[in-house]
Amino acid sequence: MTESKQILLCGVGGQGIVTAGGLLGSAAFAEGRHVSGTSSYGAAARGGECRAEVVISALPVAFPFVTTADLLVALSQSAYDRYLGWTAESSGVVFYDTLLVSPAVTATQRHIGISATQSTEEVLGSRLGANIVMLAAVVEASGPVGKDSLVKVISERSPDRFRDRNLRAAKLGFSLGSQVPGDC
Amino acid sequence: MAWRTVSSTLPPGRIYLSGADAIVEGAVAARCGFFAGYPITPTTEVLERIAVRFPEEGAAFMQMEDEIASVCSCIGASWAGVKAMTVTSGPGFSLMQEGIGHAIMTEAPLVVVDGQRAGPSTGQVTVGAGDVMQARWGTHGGIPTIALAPWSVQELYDGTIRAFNLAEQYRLPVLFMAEAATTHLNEPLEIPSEVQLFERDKNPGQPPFGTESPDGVPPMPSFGEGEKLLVTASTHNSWGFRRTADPATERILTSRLFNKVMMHVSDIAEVEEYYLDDAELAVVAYGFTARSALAAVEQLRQEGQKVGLLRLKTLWPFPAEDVARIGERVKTIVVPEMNLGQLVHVVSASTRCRVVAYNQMDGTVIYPSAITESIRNACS
Repeated sequence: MTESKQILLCGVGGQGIVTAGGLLGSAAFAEGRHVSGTSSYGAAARGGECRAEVVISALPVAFPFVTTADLLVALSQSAYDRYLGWTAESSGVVFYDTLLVSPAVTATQRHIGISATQSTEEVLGSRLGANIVMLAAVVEASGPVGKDSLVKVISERSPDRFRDRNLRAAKLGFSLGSQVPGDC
Repeated sequence: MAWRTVSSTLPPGRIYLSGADAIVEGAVAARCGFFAGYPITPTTEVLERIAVRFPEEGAAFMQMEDEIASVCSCIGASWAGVKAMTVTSGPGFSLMQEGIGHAIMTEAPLVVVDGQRAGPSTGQVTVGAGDVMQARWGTHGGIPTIALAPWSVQELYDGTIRAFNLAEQYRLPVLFMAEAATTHLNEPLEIPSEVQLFERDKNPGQPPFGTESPDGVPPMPSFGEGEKLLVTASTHNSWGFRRTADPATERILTSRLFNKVMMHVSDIAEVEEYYLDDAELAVVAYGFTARSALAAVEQLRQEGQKVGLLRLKTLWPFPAEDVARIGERVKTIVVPEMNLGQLVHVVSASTRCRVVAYNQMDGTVIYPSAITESIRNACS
């Protein structure tokens, strides 16, 4: 896993997009890889669109923003509609939340639906942690970082009162990701 | 020179940190003792983190009622003998200009971090580099101060420490011109084991506002040290007495304030050169945009084009001699800026070389592709 990967996570404020981007970047850093993470959120904390960009590279990252996304992770329809065009044609992979996003029928990128929000509600009792479920599913299915690294940073960076829940969310996400057929 | 070596306040080694947190840790490492500020995007995270970290380190944190009070509190803290800083963005930077002028006139060391955005007024809360000329000319009177332009999380840490050192060394407010693009960036950061700090010169019994040298920096006593201190922003003599109708006093004071910066440009202003040895076109860039420029230059080099980058780590005092030197060697200089053209005019005034501006002011960073295109256009 030394190739470069540009990953764009997007949704609306409050879904934990920036947190997920931070965890992904930290996991890549923990693996000793070159990584940059950025986040964009003006008034997004109050329900507007927000995105987190993570660039993992074999070389030091000169330009830390996503130019063409290899992976798009979408947790809202508006963010999906906005950022689908940023995703690499044909080679790009889109992970979308099946409850919150209806994929575009004309899209050329491979689309993978993950029932992150719905499963989180069913298994953990509320939507809190759906960001971690989605991120863990992406990590399991696509491997931008190792699962162990992700679990380690979730454990280290979660506030005490959320640690157990976040680790359960990660386990749920790995399980959803393992059901995705083929390499992506 | 009162340099001393101290231990870093974080364990040495590599960490993954945000730009905002790197500014805070740089200030802690520089042993900043006082912060006053008012929250504003994109530097609210800096303020929030300082509210936690400064008390842990025995330093003071105050949230003020506005930016004017923030910078003025820092001037007071500086005269009380501690290193002081504030953090803001464009709209607050505008409000702080009077205080910055006061700090220049009273020779109060402090650090003003400006997480720049677009503008004017509240403008966009996203990325921009709107305050480049304001850093030089924003306060009335035209006396220069020092402004640095960091481009990475590493430099937000190292540069914050340097900002404090320059402030203490030259006794003036140093403007640390960060950007939303870097304060919201997360990157690996190398924490060294030791930090070099400049400690304020003390020389009891000597005048606090005059030296024999026309470009000198006088020693700075603090209130409470037993010295009779008079601090005024009006024209004053070397002992701080107001002399507002005396041309000689005004001339001596203002020329020294000017010269203590402008006669030391080579010590203060830093640049970095990339691929310039055989370059026929140079990009002159600063801050985050210099990263885009470097990515663009490296791509064009792979295509065989003779292009290079002169990166300005310091905006003010402007490294005019470096620009002039590069201008002698290349045919064209391209200046990309996240504003509608600010530093390009200073670049143009420093060289007879053809200078082309590329400007973007829409709340987004300039992507490398935009710079490669502007270079191709400049060559065609």
